Amino acid sequence: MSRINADAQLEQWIDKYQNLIYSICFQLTKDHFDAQDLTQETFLSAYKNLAYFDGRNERAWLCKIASRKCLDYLKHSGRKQIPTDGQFLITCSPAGPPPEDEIIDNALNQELYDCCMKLKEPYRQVALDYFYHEMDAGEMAEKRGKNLKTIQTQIYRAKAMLRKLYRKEDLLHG
Amino acid sequence: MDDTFYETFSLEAMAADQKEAEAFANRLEETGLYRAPANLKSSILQQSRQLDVRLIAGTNHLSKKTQLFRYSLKVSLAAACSIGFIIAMPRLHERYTVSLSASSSSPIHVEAYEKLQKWNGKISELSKSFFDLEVPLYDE
Repeated sequence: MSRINADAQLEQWIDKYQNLIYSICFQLTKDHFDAQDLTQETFLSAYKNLAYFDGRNERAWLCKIASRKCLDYLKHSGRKQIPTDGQFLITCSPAGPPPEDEIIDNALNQELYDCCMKLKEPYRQVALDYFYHEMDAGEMAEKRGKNLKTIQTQIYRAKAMLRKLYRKEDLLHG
Repeated sequence: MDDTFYETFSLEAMAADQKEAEAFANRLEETGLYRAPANLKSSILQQSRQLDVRLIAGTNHLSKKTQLFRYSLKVSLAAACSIGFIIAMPRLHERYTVSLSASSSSPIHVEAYEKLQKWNGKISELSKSFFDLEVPLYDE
């Protein structure tokens, strides 16, 4: 497959499966930022290993990559999940309310907003634009008239700060 | 707790078997999916354009023999550079310290820094042009 075809394939997969892969990662890690990173890693890994894909069931293949990424992450962090007899078990409740419920979405957004507001400038505005308003790094660089690399570095730092804040709040609320 | 209401998945089984992973995905889709952040796509696409990612993706398309050849070429080149550096470094150092003690000022450092910067610029230009070459190549 040529490079252009591979790029088009990647874009198509992202459009089609980003919510599914993100949901798998979020369900397994219970962390917005980790889920985002793992979703990215999943698609990049699929892109790199496109040559080994048998072309049959892309959905299952992507889900398997995502599961492997999450397993590696959980094994390394050793934090969120407690292994039972060497296995990581996930329990799914079919009776639970759908996570896309407006109330849950609003609560998550409010939590994100509150955490962003706790950061100092320039990271506060960067975090609000990137994580809360979901702006693109390129758009942000254009808006502020700054170098893209500078914005990317600020996003990276803001993400690390937000992660710390989330974990602190997790500890506070048990 | 009613056990029939819950379904338990083993993450290790999911990571090893596509069917298990898909079953978990089906269950998630039934309960409803989270919405991925809007900037996730652009962020992934941006990363996929990075040279290292493209190189890995590119080499994975090659046959095993060609991959091995590329790898051995890379290792040999790195080894040759290291040996060259080890041989050249003491002489260069000697030359610089001699001229530094003679002049007792620091223009030599500035000169070396400028040279390094020039080379760095040349390398980044070269890699950029190399990278841009790929688009027309595949267009054809």
